[in-house]
Amino acid sequence: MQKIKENVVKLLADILDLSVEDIPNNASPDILERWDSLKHMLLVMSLEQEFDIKFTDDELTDLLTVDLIAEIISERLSND
Amino acid sequence: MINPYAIGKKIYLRAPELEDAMNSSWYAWFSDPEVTMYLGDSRYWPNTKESQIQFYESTKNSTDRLVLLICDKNSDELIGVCNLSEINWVHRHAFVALVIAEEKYRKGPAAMETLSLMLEIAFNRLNLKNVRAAHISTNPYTPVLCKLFGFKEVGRFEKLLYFYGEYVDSVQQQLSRSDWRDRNQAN
Repeated sequence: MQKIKENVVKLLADILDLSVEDIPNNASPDILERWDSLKHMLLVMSLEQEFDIKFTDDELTDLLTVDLIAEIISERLSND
Repeated sequence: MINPYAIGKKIYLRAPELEDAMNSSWYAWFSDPEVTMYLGDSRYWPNTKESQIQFYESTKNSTDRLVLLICDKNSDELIGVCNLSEINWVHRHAFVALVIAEEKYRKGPAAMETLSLMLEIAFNRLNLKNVRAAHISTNPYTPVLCKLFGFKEVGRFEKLLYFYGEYVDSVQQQLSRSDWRDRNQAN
């Protein structure tokens, strides 16, 4: 789970053009000004590529914070 | 929530009322260039309260167009509008479109939740077989949204649309019910 979260943070930092250190532990679009809806969708596409998964519609609408993203990916990978 | 037709996690969809056409920001959204920038023909002409009422009257009993207002679940605030249009009951397809008009909601998950609910309505409630979407090729948002929800680009009308001084493509997207079901049963 921690490794997944680290990967999510790396991808997010890359998309937002920030360093990993600039991404707070509880990162969400509410906290990070640059995390807008387009960046969010690009992040989700990158996550699907990185982890070789396709999120369901239900999961897509749950990917609201770094913690939730890591949790959902972790659950998906453990089920596959 | 007021008369919800479909309920999401943070938003819900409901049928518009005459009161919405007369006394909400619905009509003003479609004169705002920031809202209409990537929309079709509605961005060229100003909208008025009177034309919004006419639109409401023309669609309220329509069987080939389902118009729904997008509302905040907590506050009931109107945040946008979505619709299934050109519903074809023989071939069972329709166009989907949505607008998150209130700026403070554009950053959040409202567009994704709305599309998720509209696909559920189209495929499971209305028994449609294909949902189509079309967007101007300069639109940075819609192709990404479509891709996330499994739409496939199926073609383009080249240099069809005038967009700020140049002619650009109209991109056609399509999602079949079988693809939608496969993806949502993936896990």
